This record gives sequence, C-alpha cells and structure tokens, in this order.
Amino acid sequence: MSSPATIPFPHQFRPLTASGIYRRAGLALAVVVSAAVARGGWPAAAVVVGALAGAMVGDLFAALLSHPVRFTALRGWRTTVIALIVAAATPAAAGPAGAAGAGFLALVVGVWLPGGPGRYWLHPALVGIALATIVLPGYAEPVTTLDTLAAMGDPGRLAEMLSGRIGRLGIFVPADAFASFLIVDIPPQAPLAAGLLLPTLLASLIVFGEDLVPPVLPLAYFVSWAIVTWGIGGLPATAWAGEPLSVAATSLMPLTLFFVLIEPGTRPLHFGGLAAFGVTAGTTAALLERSALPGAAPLIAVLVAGSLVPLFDWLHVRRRAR
Amino acid sequence: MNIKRSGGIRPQSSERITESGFWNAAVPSVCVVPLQQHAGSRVEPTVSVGDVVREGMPIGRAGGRLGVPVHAPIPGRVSQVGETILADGTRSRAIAIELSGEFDRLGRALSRRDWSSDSPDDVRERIRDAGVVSTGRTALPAHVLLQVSRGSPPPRLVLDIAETEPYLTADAELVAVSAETVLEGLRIAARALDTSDLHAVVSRGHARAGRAIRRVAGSSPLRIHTVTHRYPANLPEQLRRATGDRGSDVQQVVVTPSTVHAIYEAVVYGKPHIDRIVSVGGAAAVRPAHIRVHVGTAIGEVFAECGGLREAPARIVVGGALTGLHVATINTPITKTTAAVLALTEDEIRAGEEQPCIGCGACARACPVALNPMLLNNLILEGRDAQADAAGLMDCTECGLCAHVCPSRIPLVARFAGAKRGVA
Repeated sequence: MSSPATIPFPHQFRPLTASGIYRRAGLALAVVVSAAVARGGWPAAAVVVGALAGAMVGDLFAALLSHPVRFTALRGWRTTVIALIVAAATPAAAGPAGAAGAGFLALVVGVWLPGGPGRYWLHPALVGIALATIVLPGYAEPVTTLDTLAAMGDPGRLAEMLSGRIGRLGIFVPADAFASFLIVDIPPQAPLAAGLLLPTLLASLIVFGEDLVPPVLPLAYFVSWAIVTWGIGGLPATAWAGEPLSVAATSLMPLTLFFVLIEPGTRPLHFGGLAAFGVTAGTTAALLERSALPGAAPLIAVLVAGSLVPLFDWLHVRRRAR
Repeated sequence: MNIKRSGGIRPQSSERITESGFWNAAVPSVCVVPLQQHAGSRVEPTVSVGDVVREGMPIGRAGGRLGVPVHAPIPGRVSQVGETILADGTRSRAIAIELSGEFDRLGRALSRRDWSSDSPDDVRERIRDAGVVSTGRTALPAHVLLQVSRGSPPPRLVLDIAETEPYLTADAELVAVSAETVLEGLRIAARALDTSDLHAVVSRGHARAGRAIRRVAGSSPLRIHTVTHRYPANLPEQLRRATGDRGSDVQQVVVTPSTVHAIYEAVVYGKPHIDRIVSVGGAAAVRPAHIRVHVGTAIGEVFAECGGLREAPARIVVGGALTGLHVATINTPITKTTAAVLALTEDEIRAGEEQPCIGCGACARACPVALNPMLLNNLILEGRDAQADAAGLMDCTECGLCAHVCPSRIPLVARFAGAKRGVA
C-alpha cells in the first residue's frame, strides 16, 4: 500500500447543461445587441423588444397547440438566443413590428414545425428572417443611407457623449475611438448588428472560452470565403464596401461566424461534417456577395448549407459503418 | 454491431487518488446473504432459522444446470430467512447470519491442491460447487461461462483487464497486486474450456497491472494486448479486435480477473465464492480504497471500513459511475458481482432536471457502437418501437455514456434499457 493509484473521473467534456449553453450564448449575444442599442437608440431597442416578444409569443403559441414534447423552447434560454439573433440580423428600419413577426415565425416555423427542440436542422432565426423577408411587407425594403442613419440614431453624438462621460473620470478616450467602435458608416438597409466588429469580437471570447462552438466551423467558413472571393477576382463594386475586408468587418459575417454557427441543433455532428458545413457556407456566401443580396449573403449561405446537414451526417454514419 | 475506433470518452487520470493494494475488511457482525446473485436457476435455502452454520458451508441450493450453491460467508447462527432488496431493485430471498463461533479458513494456512491432472469436467464441477459467479457484464455461473458445445473448435479465452469505467479499478488492482494467482486462475479456466488460446487485453491506463501480468506471463502461451485508455474499451467486439480477430468464427470467452481469482481459490484451495474485492470511491468517501469484503456485508459497513463519509452523498451507487445502480439504502448487501460502491457528490453525478434535447450530438459522438441516441430517444418517445429497433436499439450496450455527456440530462440509457425490454 505505498504508491498511489489514480481513479479517473469524470470525463473530458465540459460539464455544461443545455440551459447553461444557451445562457452563455445569450450573454454573448447580449453584448452585441447592447452595443447595437447603444448605437441605435430607442428605435434599435424597440427592434430588440419586438423580436423577443414575437419569439416568446410564437413559442407559447406553438407549444400550446400540440406537440409530442412536453417542454417549451422558452425554457433554457433557447428562445432568448434565437430572438436575439433575429434582432441582431433585422434591419433597423423594419421596426418592432417586423422584428416581432420575424421572431414569431422563427419559433413557430423554425422550431416547432419540424417537431420542436432537438428536431430542427435549419437555424430557426434564419428561417424566421427569410420568411419575414418574403411575407412581411416592408421588412427588408431598400432604404436610403440617410433613412437608415435616422432610424438608428446619431452614433457620432453618442460617441461624443461617451467620450465626455469617461473624461470626467479622468480617463481620456477620444470620441473617434468610440465612433470606430460604434461604426458610423453603415450601409443602407443595415441590420442592427452590422459593423459592430469590436463588440462582436469581445463577445466571441465568451463563445470560445466556454467551448460553445468548435473552432473548425468558423475557420472553415472564413478560409473558404476568403479563398473563393480571391479566386473569383474580389468583390464587385456593387457589394457593400467594395473590398473583402470591409465586407468582413461591416457585414453580418462576424455575427454569423461567432453566433449563428453556435446553434448546437443545426450543425453537423462530427468533425468532417463541421468542416464541410463551414466550407459550403463560406463558399456560398462568397458567391452570393456577387449577387443582388450582398448584405444578407452570410445568413443565406448558412441557411443553404444547413439544408445539407442531414446529408453530411448521413455520409459520416455510412462511412463509419463500413 | 458496428464498433467505431473513435467514440467513447477519455477518462481523466488525475482527479481521484486512492491507495494501491487492498486489505481485508472487518468481519461484519451480521451478513445478509442474498440467494439470487446470478442469472439462472432459483436458489432455495437449505438452512432454517436457528441453524448453526460454519464458514463456507452451503446455505442455498439451486436446481438445474444454470444454478450454483450459495455459501455462508461467516460462521454463526441463522437469525432470519426472508427477503432483501438487491441493488437493481429486485427482491431476492436472503439468509441473515449472526456472527459466532470460529473461522475455518480465514486467517489459517490452507493446503494447496494440485489441479494439473483434473479433467475439464472435474474443474467445472469444482467451480460449480464453489458457487463461483462470473463478475463480468453478465452475472452467469462461471461453470456455464466456461463450457462450450461439444465438437466446436477451442474457444479464445480473453482476460479482460481493460475495464476503464470510472471507479471500476478493483480488477486492475487485483492483477497489479496478485498477478500470479490471476494467471493461474486463467490457466484453470483454460483447462475447463479445454483451450490453449489465451489472451489478455490491458488498458494503457492500468500500467501497473500490465507490467505485473507481463512479468508473470513469462514464456506462457498468454498473449498480451494493449489498448488505448478510453471508456468503453472492453465491449466484446472491441476485445475481439484487440486480440487480432478480424471476423473469424472462433468463440470468444471473456473472463475478468476477479472471476479467475475466485476460480483459482475454488480449485486450488477449495474455497467457496464468499468474498470479493470492491472499489470504494466517490468524492464523499473519506478514504477511497480497494478492500476485500464478505458477501452479505451491508454497503454502509463498507463505507465505515473506509473511514465513513465526509458529507452526505447525493447518490449511493453500486457498480461503476456510468453503469452503476442507484441504491436507496445503505443496508443493501454486497453480492458476488459487486465491483464498486460509490458515494457520489452532486458535482460528480451532474444531476439535474431533464431538459429538452438541443440536438448537440454529444451523445452520437460518444456512442461507442455508432448509434444515434437522439434519434432513438425521439422514436421511443413517440412510441415507434419498430423503427427504434431498426435504428439499432438492440445494439445499445448500455454503457451509459450518452446519458453521461448529455447536457440536457436526458436519462437516455435508462430509456433505452426500458425500451429494449419492451422491444424484445
């Protein structure tokens, strides 16, 4: 009885619960959405409230009707996360009604129609946004830059205000720094979270720190997007900022990379499938950015790639069974 | 059944430390000996209240080929013949013995018997008479496990030192401390099977056991194979692959170190199967250790032997941390197949309210037999048993990993076990 023997326990997985996963995702998204509200003011806040209300009403509505599972998606923060993604990706000009409609559709059609939590394979928020674009009049109609800026408040004035408040504490931060943080120069029809690169990167620390998304997924997306974009001769002049890095910074790509792709229920099960999913989404996004839908390209690309997730999983199972 | 090379989990190796080796637990003042400790024939008591029994005396008799007798683990007086509740919740007839008198074997030098001239039938007979029960995945009488149909080719006998489930380390410890007796027990088992095709599969995590068995194997025909330290590592198909079998028709008989150790004691010393080595663990246990315990000892006394509990455990478990059974009372007796008793804390059991599946696929990645537990769960919830069967429900080994890794705390393995009984 001399040398010690080890008893191994518990295991390699992080001990997160389902609600813990979504709570952390919700916390990360709240950072981005809060920055969007700080930039956009009351109109942006109304969009967020609208998306949350629409999603919750949709969840309760669908759960009350009939379903084989005895839980509502509202429990465990899932609805909150979906609603925040809807809000972040909704054009500010759509207003709270449009956001509520998108949130409602995300839960009813995106979550409950395929059978409820754990049974959908297309990202519910993307489904909701896509349907809202189709069925809700005015949800994604083009507006001028001036209109959008008016709808989103005055970021320049907000930057001045923040600089002044912090200056009273003896800390000098130039207003330009806040302006760059809040991205004044956003394109027409910009979604709420467009251009919030720094808050998004900050929030991504929570996502990766908690191991909520396998790094292979955003990596495969970004690398394939960059290669395809470079391979086809760069972005056309009609795309948002006209050059790839600006598009990457000011479009919904950061939101997609760190938050849309974290949804556990809509990503492939295994490493190979994750890589294939990322490559498909990144390639599709690069191609779509040359089309008439440059702003929504990342979201549409994930939706398209998501439709192939069952195929990726099936191929993996077949290979393993051999 | 599909066995993928990945899957499973890699247990961490630096969280719980216990002493190596084992000691004999104090003899309990009362032993409640369950009569039904194995699958097979019903065992009837052969003693009644007030009878005086000696250590190792038969107190239960089973009819039929699948039955083995049950012996008194301690000398004393039969105080009660009634029922007890086993760890799996089933009721079994049991005999309570109050300690008195003197031991015939414990603490005495026993004379060694030469078994080299025994025939396979003789060996099996001795094993049966000693009441040896296999302590592997199925609690079969050992003499039944070691019998192959006449005319069939010699089977492959595999010593399983690849049990990697957290806390189930008693077998590996037995090999590390007493490799000579384990190897001799394996040779006796080989004689019973009339085979010379001997293999041992060792997990890399059991390095001391691996070294010990290599040291004593020497020039014997035992072939030793090493496998990665993952859980699970000792499913029948995994052991077949580990021994280099790529789909032959040779029958594989798997025995555990504690089984062959009991066989050794039965054949060499004529000792009945009345005790076994048990892992005592869990964060709530004061002194995690391996101890040799008499069959019929209450779980509470086993913990007391190891210093008691440092806090109220969230769950008392008999067996491994993943496949073990949650018992409601610490009066549950130790049986011939009890490999571990655990006092687990809230952190260890990771209990929580069941939440909806989030489709994260952790269960599918962990499943060692390449099932899709998410799909199976949905099919079972919807009552589509035929589709669940077609999706591989019956291939589930009930290793417990899917439920363990599930962030939604869905009791997947319990649900599958229930559905399997329904489907079957």
